[in-house]
Amino acid sequence: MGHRDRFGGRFGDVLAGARRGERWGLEQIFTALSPVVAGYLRTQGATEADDLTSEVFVAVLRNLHRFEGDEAAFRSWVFTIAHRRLLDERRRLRRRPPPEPLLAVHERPAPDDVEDAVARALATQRVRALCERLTTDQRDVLLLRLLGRLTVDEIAAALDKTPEAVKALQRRGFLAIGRLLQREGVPL
Amino acid sequence: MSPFGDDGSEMTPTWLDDDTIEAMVSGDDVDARFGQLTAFVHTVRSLGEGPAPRPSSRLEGVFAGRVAIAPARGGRRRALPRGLSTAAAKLAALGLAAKIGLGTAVAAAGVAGAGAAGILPDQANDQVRRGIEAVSPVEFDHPGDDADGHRETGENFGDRVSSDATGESDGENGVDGQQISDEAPGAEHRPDDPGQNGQDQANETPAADHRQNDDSDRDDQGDGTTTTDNPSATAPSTVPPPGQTVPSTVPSRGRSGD
Repeated sequence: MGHRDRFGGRFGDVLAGARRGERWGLEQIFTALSPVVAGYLRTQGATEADDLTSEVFVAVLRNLHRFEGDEAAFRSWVFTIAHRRLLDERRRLRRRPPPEPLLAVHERPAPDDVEDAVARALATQRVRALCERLTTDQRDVLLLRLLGRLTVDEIAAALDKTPEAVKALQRRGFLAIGRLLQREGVPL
Repeated sequence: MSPFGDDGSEMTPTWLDDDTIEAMVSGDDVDARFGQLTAFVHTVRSLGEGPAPRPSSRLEGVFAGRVAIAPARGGRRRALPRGLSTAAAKLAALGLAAKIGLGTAVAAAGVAGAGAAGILPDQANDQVRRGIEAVSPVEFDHPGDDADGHRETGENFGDRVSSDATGESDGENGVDGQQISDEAPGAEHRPDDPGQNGQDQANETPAADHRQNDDSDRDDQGDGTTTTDNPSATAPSTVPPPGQTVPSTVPSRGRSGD
């Protein structure tokens, strides 16, 4: 799976450098995986997706000594942490909902490529609108599969389900998305 | 069997096989009828292709080495002293039943120690001490027991009559107050002869020859009056002689013009 390689074939070196606390290694891990993690959290509806992404990588980098495996296993490990942080945030928000902002304030700095950013924001809205029609389990499976690029077995381990259950959820999720796209004609 | 509904023009898949899903997820070519789903897959994938978000200050701290990236196992636990760590290791090696037994023994020993030390409430104290007596040769005094070791409880209250009350102890019914118990406070300092007073004892000391023989200051009358002729020799009185003012910490307002 070449598209899962986000370290240019140098994952071992990067991991070793990060474990030694070398800044370039730590930053490389963040640079390589934070966009997909942030995309996953944003599509899942995280309220402060960028801040939550930073929290995920604080946990990842501080626990590097616990990880063993290759890049695919590392990616799966990172997404497992991200998913658990997302669940933590949802639980926290259920207990104490955030106050409604008086004005919609966009604190993020203007990206270099505004057109791409706008297109991505619109796409995120459309995908979120579709995924909100799925069950929680179906949404988790599809987004971990497509954004996290995790395998069925990796998702099963992350969500504490059997591979067969994950396959069934994946199938029903895709079918539901297909029906929504056909019925409502949502452009993508 | 068609993967779509009975109406072939609907183009809505009613089932998907795992191979088709794997092909879509992997980016391989699939049947054109799954075009919308393929577009959905590509769109979702693109959401993870943006720039890296700005790291938080805490994450910057990790990058800069200000936050430890590999905390020791146990985190903030402090290392135990060597003897304690050995004991802790042995304790950890015990089985569940042994740990339960050991915990019960430690708890019992703690309660017994507290009972023996007398720091428990009286009722609990008494019960604990009786428990210790039952399993060991140690005996304690119980405040509720009489001299014969009988314990007075709510059930036998009033059954027994004191030997003082019946006259068995001294031949007279009741307590006449003439006798002082040997258990009363200060019994060891009490003179053998109750009639002897402090003056008599002073006359028996080596310094008896040097004592002042002027007994005129003493209240020999026993009526509270003294017979002294020298008021200045008397002990300071709290009552000043007439005409003298009493030193006061309160300033006198009317004397500043004198």
